[in-house]
Formats: sequence, structure tokens, C-alpha cells
Amino acid sequence: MNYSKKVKLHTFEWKGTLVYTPFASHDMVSLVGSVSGGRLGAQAFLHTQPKSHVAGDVLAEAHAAMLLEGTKKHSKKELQITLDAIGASLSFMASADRLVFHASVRPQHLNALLNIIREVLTEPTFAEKELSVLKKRMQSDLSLEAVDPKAQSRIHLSRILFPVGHASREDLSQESMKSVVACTRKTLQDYHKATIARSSLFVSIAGDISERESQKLIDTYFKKLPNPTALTIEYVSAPPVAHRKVRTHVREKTSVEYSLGSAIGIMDSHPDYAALMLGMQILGVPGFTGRLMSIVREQEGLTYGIYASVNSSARIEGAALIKASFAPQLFEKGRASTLHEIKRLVEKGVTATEVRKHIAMYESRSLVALSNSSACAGLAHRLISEGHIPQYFDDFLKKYRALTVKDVNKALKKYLNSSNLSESAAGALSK
Amino acid sequence: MKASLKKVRSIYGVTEYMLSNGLRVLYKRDASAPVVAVCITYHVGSRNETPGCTGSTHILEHLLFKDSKKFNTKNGKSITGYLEWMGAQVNATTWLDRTNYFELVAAADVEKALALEADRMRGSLFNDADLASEMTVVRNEYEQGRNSPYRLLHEMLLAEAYKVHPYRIPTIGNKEDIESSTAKKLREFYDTFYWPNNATLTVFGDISPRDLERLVIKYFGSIKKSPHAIPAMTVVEPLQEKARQVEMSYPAGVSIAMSMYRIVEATHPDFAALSVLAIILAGGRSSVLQRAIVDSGIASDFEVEMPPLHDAGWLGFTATIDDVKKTTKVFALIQKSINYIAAHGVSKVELKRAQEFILTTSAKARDGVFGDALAVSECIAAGDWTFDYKLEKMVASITSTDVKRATHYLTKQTNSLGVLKNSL
Repeated sequence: MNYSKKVKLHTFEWKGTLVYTPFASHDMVSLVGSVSGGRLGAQAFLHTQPKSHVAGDVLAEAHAAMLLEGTKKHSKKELQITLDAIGASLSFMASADRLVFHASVRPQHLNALLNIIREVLTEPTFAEKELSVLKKRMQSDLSLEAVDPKAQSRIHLSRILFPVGHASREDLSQESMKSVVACTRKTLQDYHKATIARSSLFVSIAGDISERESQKLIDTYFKKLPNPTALTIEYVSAPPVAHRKVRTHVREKTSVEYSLGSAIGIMDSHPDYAALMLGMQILGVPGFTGRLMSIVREQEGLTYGIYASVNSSARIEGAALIKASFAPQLFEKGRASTLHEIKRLVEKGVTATEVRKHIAMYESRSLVALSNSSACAGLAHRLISEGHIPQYFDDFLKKYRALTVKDVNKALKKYLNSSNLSESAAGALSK
Repeated sequence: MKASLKKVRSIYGVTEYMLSNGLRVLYKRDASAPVVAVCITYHVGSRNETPGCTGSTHILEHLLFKDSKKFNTKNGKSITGYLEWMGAQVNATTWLDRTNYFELVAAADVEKALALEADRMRGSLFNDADLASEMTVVRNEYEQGRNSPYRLLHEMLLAEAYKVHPYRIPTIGNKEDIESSTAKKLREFYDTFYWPNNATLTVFGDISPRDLERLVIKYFGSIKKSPHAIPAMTVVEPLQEKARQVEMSYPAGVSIAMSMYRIVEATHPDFAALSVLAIILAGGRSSVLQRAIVDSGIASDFEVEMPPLHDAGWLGFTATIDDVKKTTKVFALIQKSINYIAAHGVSKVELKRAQEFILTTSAKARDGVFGDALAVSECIAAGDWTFDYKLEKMVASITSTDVKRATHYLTKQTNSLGVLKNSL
């Protein structure tokens, strides 16, 4: 695959960027776009403000959710009617450092959709009434989260692995609830003014539309977005920390959700990253071919699913993570088996056959995954918004192909050190 | 006798073939990406299970990832890994009306996918040991599902809405039945339902018609049709005569209100009008009930579901609320909105919005060959693989009168209400 030759990158005079991926979709256009902001952007903004009890995560999430709640020109109801009438899907969400929108629409309605995106980015009202309804929704979601074993397992592990201020550290559900109460219209308005900047805009388009038409439309609709001085986002480092273990009992649940991991202290541009990624793929790639699935599930029948991953990006130091679900009575056995397999992987290493097969699989998966317009738009946006150019994708594949057993084993020994592996279990555990 | 693949018809861009052993084959050429989606849909789901054997279809789906004659751990071609090592996306799912096994593979690997699906159709070798190791896996899947308050209430409500029809039992089965499964019973189930004349193979993607025909004959042509007639499921749910209600208490963090109306099967002529009615009521953020229930702050979330099913299905609404006392208000608003449409019909704007919503949802589902093939699999399960394509046309011609008329299905007599009270 020669990805970089396929994808077209265009930077406008006003500094926004379009990335276009040709894909012969039938009657559908997919868009993914973003501006600088997200959880870290909100955190950076709050540092410039008098003390507030709202947290960056909640501010970023509330801001994204409020964009579709009404503009100076159109009420929430009118916006909703327009979107529904053209059958468009449009959602905003906060990622670690971006305010991201996902949209899809039939080509004949693309103009109308872009007009709405432009309008909500430039003229949202953040009406008190809608904010009050949103707060109720957020509190309800947090109430569900507080008794969701998967969420609790994940949240507690994030608090062990990542320091305060890191993009992946999550607040406790109870803390977030208090933060929701503290979120005000004024804070949202001020944050909006500070974060929507055309020079930080990336839009990725794929589907039933030409490159030329895409360029014309993005230029037309977004060149007049405001352009304040960019927020200075701080990327807190996340070096490995000593092992810790936390268990959270959740009433009347029937399984134990188990998360295990270690902060790695490197970004995806680090020379070791590809080798570690391959090692984690061998350990627990989604599907049945990872070691954990073939042993802990297929041979021992201890879990429905157990997977491993590593999640750094170009600016964020991530972690090596393993996640599984166990029946309460099999939890200790499943945990022991998981730890044993990790130890065996690190101490005895991977084999040449595993390295060869997993590299081939990764390459084919990358090709197969790009089989719809939404996936094409999503990948291109991810690369660009993380600070890469399309060539990065081809270069990374090249680097992956060149990895050796020695590279992988060295990376696993260095980053998957069992003394640094922390654990979080939540669900049907004895108190 | 030599197998033959007979072209039945080409419609909606799909060519339908029939193999001499009764296997229906659906094919669409789509070269938008160098991939092929392969999906085999068996016309057996949890609706075909008998009392005491609930969950069998789902457990069998798990066991069909164990060894088969030509794809096994001994020859290094285990079903779980064979296609995945080639980068394919592989999985299977079981639901009320069907079981499907599917792969998205690079175009060069389509032959391998077809070979594997053909082999496990009649050549699965699962045994007691396989079942024993898989039982804990299935139990874990069951227990994970029991963590969801929505699922708990939904199951309880379906068991109330359906008194005799198998839709009353969740696809994953009852715990006692799951635990008393035996390889022998599952083998009988396999031998009853897993035959070419009880399956439809869908192949969409970058493959020529000539290659498709050659490969289907090569791999599926030698499989014999079933020596017996495939048993039909004949249970008919009696008419509901009065409203029903269930309640439960659970530490969910929120309370939940569900309202479910028993309606018609997907292939019924009124299904299109009901689809439009469902969207006008609760599909999209500008729908009547989203505005009345969510935007007003009564509920934090409101969802609608109307699965296209083989037998008479349901139209359901789910509201997430902070105070269980609001359930009465939610239920009253739902019925009031239905009654209003029954009396006054819907506006042209509402109608147009719902039609566009359905057409776009359909276009989105078909974005890429994988989504397209899986969407067709649901239509196959509902009893007519052209269902989605027909529905699009039918929806476009629905009138306000049709929608008004469809409200007669949504009465207190056909209604079942479910309340989950947060005990935290």
C-alpha cells in the first residue's frame, strides 16, 4: 500500500488543513475535523482563569456537547430539525487535545451540513436553559459510570499510572459530578473564544465527493472562523511508576473487570515504540491470535475476552495496557494466568515466527480496515491531528516490517517490567 | 451429480444465485477497496430453540470456532487464527432469527474465507472437551451482560410482552440451560440446522462474477442438502389483550423506564409506515419525544428501537431518569404523542424528515462492503434479503395517512411497561 500517494494534503492561506482520501463510496460523504482544544486545551484555559471548581475534562466535554444546543441564528430545535431533515449525523467530542467533530451525510446535503458546522463553531449561545439540561444528562451518565465495573476499573488504573495534568488521567466519578455542578455559561463562553482557531483546523474528507469540490467547500465555510492566539497546551510526561493495586467493589455485579498496565514514558516517535507495539500485539491483539486470547481464553477458558495495547501518540506518553473480564470465582485464577503469560513473554521473549506473522497481519489489517469512507476519513484525521504527515503511515509500516526478534524482546523487557505493572479490578469482588 | 449454480435474478445491484444443494448466494461487485466481505447467514436463531435448550444457538456459534475437518490446530490452520493471520476482520454473532459468520478479507484471500466457511458448515469437529473449555467463556459473556441495568430490564420486559413466543428468551439463554448444555445436544442442533439449504452466502466486494461462481461451486458444491426438512418454528404469540407491567429494583445509579408495543413482522406491509412513525416519535434529536422528554429535562436520555424481525416484533422506547417518580410522566407523554398522531396525523415536514432520516441511515449502513453485507444478513434473517431495498422505496412513498393508520398498533392493549427503580 502506498498510502501517502493516495491521500492529498492541502493547506489553505488561512492555515487550516484539508486532507482528502479518495474512496468510491456510494451516496455518502464522511468528515472528521477538529480544532485545538480537548481536555488538555480546557485545562490550559482554566490555568489562565481565576480559580474555578470545574475540571478540564468536564469543561471540554460540556463545551463539545453544548455546541449543538443553539446558535445566535438558530435555536437548538431549529438546528436539530435542519440536521434531521438532511439526514446528517453530526457529533462533537473532546479528545485529549482537540475538539473533534464526526459527520456523515449524503453528498447533496454537504453544503447544508458544513454551514451548520461553521455556525456552531462561530456563534454558539451556550444558553442557561440548555446548559441546565445538559448538566442533568452528564450527572446521569456519571451515576451510571459510578457503578459500571469497566469504567471503574479503567478510571482507577488511570489514576495510578498517570500524574495530575496528564491527558489520560481520569477524575473519579464523584469528583466529576461536583465539577459538572461548577460549570457555568460564562466559563463555556470564555473557553470557546479562546479555543476555536481556524489556523488549528484540520478537516478530513472521504467518500462521494471530488478533491476539488472538497477544497472549495472547506475554504468557503471555514476561512472566516476566528483566529485567537492558540492556547499553550502542556503535555505532562508519564514515566513508569511503582506497582500499585486497587480493588473496587461494585454492588450486585456479576463479573470482575480487570485492567493492568504500566506507563511507558515514551511517545510514538520514540525509536522503541514500534517494537513495543509489536510486542503488545503479540501479547494481546484484538481477535484470537494474541497469546493471551489463545491461552487464557482458548486453552484455559477463563475469560470471554483479554486484550493488550499500547497507546502513546505524537505528543502524549501513554501506557502498555491489558484488559480482561472474569467470572468472580475465576478471577484469581485468571489474574494469575494473565500475570504468568506476561512474565513468560518478557522473560522468554517472542519467537521469530510470531514476529514475522504479526508484522504480516498488521500490514494486511491496515489495508482491510480502510474499506469504508468513515474509516478513511478517520485515519487521515488521526495522523494529521497528531502532528504527522501522510508519509508517516508508510514510514511506520516500513519500520514495522524491519523489526527483529531482538528489537521486540528488548522493548518488552524495558517497558513491560513486572515490578511496574499496576492493577485495577472492579465489580463482583468481596469488600 | 455435478453441482450447478443457477442465476435467479439481479435486482438492486445484487445478483442472486441458487446452488443445486439449496444454498442461496448473493453477490455484488464493488471495487471501491481491494477487499471482499463474506457472510454466511444460517436461518437459525434463538427463536428456533426449544424449552430446556435455550442458548444453544449461541453456544454452537462459539463451538464453530473450534476445529473442523480441514481447518484445525493439528494442521496449523485453526479456525480462530487462519484468516486473522491474513489481516482479516473475523467474527460471528447470534440473534433471535439468525446466526451469521463473517469475514472482511483482502481480495486475494477470498478463496480461503470461502473454503473455511464451507468446511465448518458440515465439518465441525467440536466435542465434550471443547464445550467444557468454552462453557466458562460463555458464562463470562453472560455475566458481563448481567452488569447492564438496561439489559436486565429489557429481558424482563420481553419475557412479559411475549408469553409463549421464543422472543421472550434472551439469545444468550437461561443460565440453567446454558450450564446443562452437552456436546451431544449441540451436535443434534448442528445436524438439524447447519445445512446449505438453510443458509445464505453473501459475497460483496472486489471479486469477479466468474471467480465467485467458480469458488462457490468448488467449495460449497459438494455439500449435500439436508436429509430432512428444516423444522419450522410454528409458535404464534397470542394477541395481547391488556397492558402489562414489570418492575424491578437494582443499584443502577439511575432509574429506567421502558415502554414496548408489540407490532408486526418486518415483511408486513405496515412495517414501513411504522418505521416512519417510530422516527417521527423518537428518532433523531428533533423528534417529538426527544423534545418532550429529553429537552424538557424529564429524562437524560431517550432511545427508540424497532428491530426488523422474522415474526411480529416490537417498537420500544427507553428513558433514563434520575427519579423513578418520573416514569408515569414519561409513559403518559409517549401515549399522548401517539394519540395525537392518531387523531391529527403528521405534518409534511415531519414526514420528510423521517423519510430522509431512514434513507441516510440506510446509506450509512452500506458505506463499505462489510457494512453492506452485514445489513443484508439482517434482511435475510427477517425473511427477505431485499427487505432493506424495498423498505427504502416504501418509506419514500409513505403518506401522513399511512402514519396515522399505523398508530393503531400502538395502543394500551399492545403495550408493556417496565420500570427499573434505582436502589442506590
